[in-house]
Amino acid sequence: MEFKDFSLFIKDTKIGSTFTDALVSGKIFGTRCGRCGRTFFPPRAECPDCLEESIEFVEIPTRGRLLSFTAIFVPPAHYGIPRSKMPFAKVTQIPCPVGVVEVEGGLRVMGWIPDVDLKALQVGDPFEVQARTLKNGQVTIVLSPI
Amino acid sequence: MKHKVAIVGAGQGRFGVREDASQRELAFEAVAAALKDAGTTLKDVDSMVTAVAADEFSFALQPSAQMHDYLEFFPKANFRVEGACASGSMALRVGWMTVASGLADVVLVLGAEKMTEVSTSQATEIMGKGGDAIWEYPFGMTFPGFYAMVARAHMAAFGTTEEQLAMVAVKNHFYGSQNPLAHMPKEITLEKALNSFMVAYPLKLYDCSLITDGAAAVILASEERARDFAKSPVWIEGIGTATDTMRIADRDALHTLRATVEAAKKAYRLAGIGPEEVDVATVHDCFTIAEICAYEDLGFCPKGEGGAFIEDRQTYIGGKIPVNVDGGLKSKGHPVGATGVAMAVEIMKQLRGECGSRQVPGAEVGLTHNVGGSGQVVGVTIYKKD
Ligand SMILES: [Zn+2]
Repeated sequence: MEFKDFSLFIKDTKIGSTFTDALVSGKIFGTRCGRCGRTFFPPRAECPDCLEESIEFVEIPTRGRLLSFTAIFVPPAHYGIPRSKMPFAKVTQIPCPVGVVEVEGGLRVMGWIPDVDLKALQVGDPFEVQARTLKNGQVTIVLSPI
Repeated sequence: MKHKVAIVGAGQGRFGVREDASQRELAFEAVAAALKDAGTTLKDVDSMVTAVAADEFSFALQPSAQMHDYLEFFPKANFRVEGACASGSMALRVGWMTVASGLADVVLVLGAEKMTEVSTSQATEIMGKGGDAIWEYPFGMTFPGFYAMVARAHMAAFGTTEEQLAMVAVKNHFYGSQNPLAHMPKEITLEKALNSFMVAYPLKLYDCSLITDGAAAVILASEERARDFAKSPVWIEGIGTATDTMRIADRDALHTLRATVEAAKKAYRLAGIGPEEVDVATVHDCFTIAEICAYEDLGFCPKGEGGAFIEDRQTYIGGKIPVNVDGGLKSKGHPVGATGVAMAVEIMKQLRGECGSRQVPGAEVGLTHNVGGSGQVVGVTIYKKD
C-alpha cells in the first residue's frame, strides 16, 4: 500500500508502505531510534539527535487524553462541496471534528473524531486512537472517547 | 549590536480587494509613499529586501524580481525573504542586519502580497498548506483550524470565552474604522461577531482576519545617515526571532506560542526594556485568539488573563497597553507578505505622532509582533522615538 493512501498528495517517503500497511492491519506505527531509543510519532526515518537512519517501527500506545479539537466548517478546496447549480438551493456540510490526542508516553496523534457530538467534546477527555480503512480504500486515524 | 539602525521613511498603500492593481503596482504605491515620507528617491537607496509569502497567490515564480523590475532598482541588490505570514518581519530583520553590519547605509524593505487573484476556497487551500503537508493536511486542517485548536486549549485551561474572543474583533474594527488605508474600515457589534457563521469551531467569521491585497515599505538608515532625511528617525532598539514545531500538536502547551515568548525575550533583552515600558503595540491577530495569546506571551498580562485583559478594555487607547489601534490584521487586513512591514509602518507613525484620532498620546516605545504560520517562526521588534 502506498503512502498516498494516507497522505492526500505525498506518495514518496522513506517511511511509506510500512506505515500504511500497518494501518490496514489496524496498527499505528511510530518509529524508534536504534541507537538512543527515542520514539517518534509521526514516524520518521532519521533520528535528529543521532543523525542516523537506524530506525525501527514500533506500535505506539493507543490510550490517552484529548488535547484539543475543532471542526472545520469552511473546508479547503479538496474537501469542499462543489457549488450547487440549482437556483435557491443551499448546500451545507456537517464537518467531522478533528483533534489531537496525547497518548501515554507523550506522543501526539491527530485524527478524525467521527460519530461524536461536537458540543459534547471536552479537552482532557480520555480517548483512544485507532487505525481505520475508509470505504474508498484510504487509510486514516480516528480518535474515540473511551 | 555593531551599528544603530533607524527607520527614516514608512509607507503603505490602501489594503483591500485591489482588483484595480497588480502586485507590482501595489508595491510601487508603498515604496513611493515610503520614499516621499523620507523625502528621498531610490537613487539614495543602496540595497533592497522583499518579502512575499507565497507564489501561489500571484502566479509568479519570481515575484520580488517583478516588483524590483517595476521600480527600476537594477543593478543594486534585491532578493526575496520568506517566513510565511512573518515574511515582512523577516525582511525587516535582514534589512536591519544589512545596515547594522555596515554593508549598506540605506536599505528599502518591501512587503507585498496579492491574494485575491484566487478564490477564497483556493486561498484557504493555499493557506492550509501552511500546515504539515503529510501529517495534518489529510485531516482537512486549515489555518482557522489550527487556531481553533489553540482557542479550545486556551478556553479549557483558563476559561476564556467566545465573547472575549469577539471583543478583540470589536476593538480592532473600532480602530480600523478610523484607518483610511484599512481593508474593512467599519465598526462591528459584539452580537454581529458572535452570530457570524462558524469557520472552525469555535472560531467564527469575525474571529478571522481578512484575505487582502496590499503592500508596505520602510526605509532603513545607518546612524551616520539617519538625520539626512525629511523627518525625525525612529530607532530599532531590539529585534528577536524564534521558532517552534511545524505541527501545533507537538507543542508542550497548545495555548502558548513558545516562539513568541522566546522572540520577545531576545528583543526585550536587546532593547534593555521590559513589556511594561511598551506604549503601543501591533500584534499578530490573524485570529482573535492569537491576539489574546500575544497579550500573555509578550508579557502585557499574566498567562491565562488575556481574555479578562480585553474584557477590561486594557488594550484600548487609555488602557494599560493599546494594541492594534491601526485595526490589526482583523480590520486593516492581512496581505501576508506585507503584514510585518505594515506593522512597522504603523509603529513608526505612532511614535512620530501622525495617527490622528487613533494616536496613542505620548507614545515613545513601540513593539511589533509578527507570527509566521501557526507559530513556526515569530519576529518581535522594538522601536524607540528619537
Ligand atoms: Zn537517536
